[in-house]
Amino acid sequence: MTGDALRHDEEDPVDGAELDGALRELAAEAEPVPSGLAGRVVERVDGLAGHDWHAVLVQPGGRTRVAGWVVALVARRAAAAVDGVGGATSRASADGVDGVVVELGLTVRAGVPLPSLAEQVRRSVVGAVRELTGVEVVAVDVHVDDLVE
Amino acid sequence: MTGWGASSPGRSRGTALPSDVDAAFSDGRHLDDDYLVRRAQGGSVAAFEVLVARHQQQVFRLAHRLVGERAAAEDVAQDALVSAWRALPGFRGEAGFATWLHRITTNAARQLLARRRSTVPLTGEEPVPEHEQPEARALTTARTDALRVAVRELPFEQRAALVLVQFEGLSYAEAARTLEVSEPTLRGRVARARRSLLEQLRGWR
Repeated sequence: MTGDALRHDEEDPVDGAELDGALRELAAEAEPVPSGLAGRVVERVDGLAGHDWHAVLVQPGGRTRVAGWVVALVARRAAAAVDGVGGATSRASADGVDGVVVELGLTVRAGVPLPSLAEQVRRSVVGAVRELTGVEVVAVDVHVDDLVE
Repeated sequence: MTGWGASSPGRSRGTALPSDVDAAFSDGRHLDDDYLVRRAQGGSVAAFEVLVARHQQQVFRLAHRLVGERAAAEDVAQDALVSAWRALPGFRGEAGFATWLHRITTNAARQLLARRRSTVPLTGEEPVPEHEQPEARALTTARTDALRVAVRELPFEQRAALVLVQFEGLSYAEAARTLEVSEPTLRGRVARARRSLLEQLRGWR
């Protein structure tokens, strides 16, 4: 497939062939997809489809509209960045007039105490959403969906 | 002060498709990408689900090769596939869905690594799966491990060029389009990457 065409003039042909061989070995390694990947993607896509609201911040110079899925995205990134969290899905809903409720699905590293991790995730999500979007989060519901080693 | 409003209705699983078509997707193996892409562009999450199932292996493999560790690769693969959903309305289909996903995945990997760089460095270390414990490892396995590390340590743009051409089997022209650079630039990156790896290879002798 590739091989010869890749070798450059300055490459020693023997070295080049050996490198090609070694790269082929590496390329042939099995690469199992993490279980549940497709499901988590579809969940997030469904979440996007369900984020049909936006927050309006009334500021002195005008209004700032922040789409619901942006709030969910900021929340997801903040959750995923917490030490001990392997991955996160998120959904944000504007249930009341006071602020948004964020729902998180977390993949957690095995051995991490869950109650304290959840608290840390809440603090981090509330802080990040407030700082980056100006939106108040009134509750963060945490679902621990999966454990990874 | 915060207020709320409803945006235009989002695309959703239920509204855009008659349920019999949704049911057909549950066994969508016979449907080609073009058809599924058109249905997904029309708002069908069910059609997109079939595309995800079909392409997740390719997306994850590329993500893993670009970022070097499985947990980060899962993030990249998720981000890439969700970005693909969001970008679908603008997808014109000239390049083919798989090629388009290559570009989105590469961009997602670049973004993740840029974010990481500003916070914590990648550890670059993956636990060795148990069935691959040292015991009876051949020399070639050790060489493969060393090569894996060497690939991971290449600058991102060189690694991306090498991975697309040499691991994913893209032509120089396809890889150049994927990375949105000229073909000479792409060739130069592959050559530099190979030069670095050859240096390593000499060290194993």
